[in-house]
Order: sequence, then C-alpha cells, then structure tokens
Amino acid sequence: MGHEGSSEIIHYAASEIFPGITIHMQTMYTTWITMAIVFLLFMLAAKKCELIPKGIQNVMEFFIDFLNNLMEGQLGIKGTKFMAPFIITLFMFIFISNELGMLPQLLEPAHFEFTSPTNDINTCFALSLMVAIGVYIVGIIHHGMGHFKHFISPSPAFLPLHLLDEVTKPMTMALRLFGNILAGEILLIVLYRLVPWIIPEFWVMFSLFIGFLQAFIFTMLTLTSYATVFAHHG
Amino acid sequence: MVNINMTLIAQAVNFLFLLWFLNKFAYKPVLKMMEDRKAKIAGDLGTAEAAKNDAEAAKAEAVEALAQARIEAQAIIDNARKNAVAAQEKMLADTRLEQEKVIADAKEAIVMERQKAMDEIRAQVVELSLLAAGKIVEKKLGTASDKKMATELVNSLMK
Repeated sequence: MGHEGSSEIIHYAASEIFPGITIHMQTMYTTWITMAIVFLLFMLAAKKCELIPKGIQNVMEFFIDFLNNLMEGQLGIKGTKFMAPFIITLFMFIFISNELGMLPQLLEPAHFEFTSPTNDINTCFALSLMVAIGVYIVGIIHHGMGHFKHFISPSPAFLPLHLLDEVTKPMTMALRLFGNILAGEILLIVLYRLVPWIIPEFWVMFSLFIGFLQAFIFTMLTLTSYATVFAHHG
Repeated sequence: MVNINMTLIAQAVNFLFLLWFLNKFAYKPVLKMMEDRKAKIAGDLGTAEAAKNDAEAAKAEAVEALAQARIEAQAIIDNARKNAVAAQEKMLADTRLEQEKVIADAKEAIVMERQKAMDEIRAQVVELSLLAAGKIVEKKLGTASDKKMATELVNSLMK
C-alpha cells in the first residue's frame, strides 16, 4: 500500500495534477482507450444497422441479446427497458477493460503499456459504488421512500444484516474484479520474465476467458442488486 | 498497489460519460432495430402460421372432396350394377314368359292337331266300320240313322 515505487510490478503512473489531487494516469489512458473501443464498436454497429445483421452489428447484437436475456430473467420486461443502457455499457466496459491488459506490449513499459483499467482498485470501486448508489436512485424513482422497506423485511431484526450487505456487496464486487484482473496481469508479467515463449500465451488465452467471466459475474451481481427493485413490480 | 484516490471519481465520470454518449448515439438505433426485427419475425411467423393453416385447410378440403368423389363414383357403379342386374332379370323373365307362351301355343296346337286327327280317324273308322258291316250283312247300310248309330258306337268305344 501507499505510494508506488519503481519496484512495483504494475505501474499506475500516479501524478498530482492539482495540489492534493492524485490521478493514476495509466488508468486514465487505458480507460479512454477502452471507452473509445466500446464507443467505436457500438457506433459501427449502429451506423450500418440493418434488419439482417452482419459483421460488427452481428457481434454487438450477440452481446446485447445475451445481456437482454439475462436482464429479462432478473428484472422483467419493464426493468430491462429501463436498465438496458446501463447494464450493456457496464458489461462492455468491464469486458473490454479486462481484455485490454492482454494485448501484446508494443512499446517499452517506460513509455506506454496496455494494462486493464480494472487492474486499478479505483476503477473497480467506482463501478461497484455506482451500481450500489444506482440501486438507491432507481429504487427511489420507482418506489419513493418505500424502497427502504426492504431493509426491515422480513422483520426489523434483519436490519443489521441488510446494512452489512449494503456495505459488503460493493466491496466484494470491486475486490473480486480487481483481484482477478490484477493477479492475471502480475502472473503474466512474471511468466514473461520466467519463460518468455509459449507458456505465457496459454495464460493469455485463459485470462481472455477470465476477462469475459469476470465481466459476466460483475454484471450478474449488478442484476441481482437491481432485481430487488423491480421484483416489487412483479 | 491499493491506493484509493481521485482516480475513483474520474473513473465514475468516465463511465457515466460513456453511458450518456452511447445511450444518446448508439443504443437507440441498435435496440430499435432489434425490436423491429423481433416484431418482423413475430409477424412473419404469424403469416407463415396462417399460410400453413390455409394450406392445411385446403388439403383437408381436397381430401374431403376426393372422398366425396369416391363415394359418388361408388354409388354410380353400384347403381349401374343394380340396373344391369335388373335389366338382366327382366330380360330373363321376358324370355321365360315368351318361352312359356311358345310352349303353351305348341301344346295347344298339338292338342288341336290331335283332336283333328282323332276326328278324322273317327270319321274313317265310321266309314270303315259301316263298310265292313255292310259287307258282313251284304246289305248296304248308308242311311243317316245307321251313320249316327255307328258314330255313337265308335265314340263309346274310343272314349
């Protein structure tokens, strides 16, 4: 913990842009690349939007359809319509983020390297806190103050458990994603140093799968959080 | 390595910006197209279902018509067979009647011929018996009373 030194295996390029305000610039750059990729994928799909999908539209529709099915199972039709943009963006952002760190490193690490934005605890907490706060916002939009009733259901004795859940859920979501992706990248770097050929490629393949899996897990947990909000509607 | 700072806020802003941007420019056309496609597929499936039902109805109708035609054909064949049998029977009956009439006529003719022959024989016998009797009594018997007597005698004999 604390300030990173040159001995750190993962570089965040922390820089104090304003006095007292530190930003991990490496995370920022890779996040912007991720955003650009996600944006580009969707714009290409939307630009050549045809009734009979082909190429990139087909790929994006596969993801959207996959997420739609998950959402309809958890949130119902009404909830899906409301939450679709958020869930699709969340999944695609995490998915592309996770895979970004697996790209081959073209430049010297001193200049720039591809890392996952999700290897930064800040990104993971930002996402999980947005999900957690989003549940309150959407809950209040749909049920007003009635949303808070679920804290004392089935009986007021459950209040401490619910409160604990509200804190631990975003924490576990963030730490799970962060741990998986950071560990994957560290192991990849270590493997490259130990055995420069072939073996790390197997780890890259596995990590690509892990990247998808973690995005899926994060999205599923998000859906279960929101399911309680839309479950009242039936 | 675990250092929470303003990056967290920046990442939240980044994500929200991406969400807003995609929602505004990308999702609507793609989601709308997917909805349209879903509706079109549902519509097409409905049309296909209707067409299938129509085809099935037409097939059922054709089968029924065929069955009806078969029944009618059978009825025509049965009728024809019945008519043929009736005509044959009528023909047989007519033939039989004619045959019986011919036989009856023949019988009648035979009876008449026989009667005629008998009458002739009877007359001949009367003549011969008179002749014979005349010869026997050497006296010509030719009177009307003699003939009558002889006829009665022959008649009683030939009864």
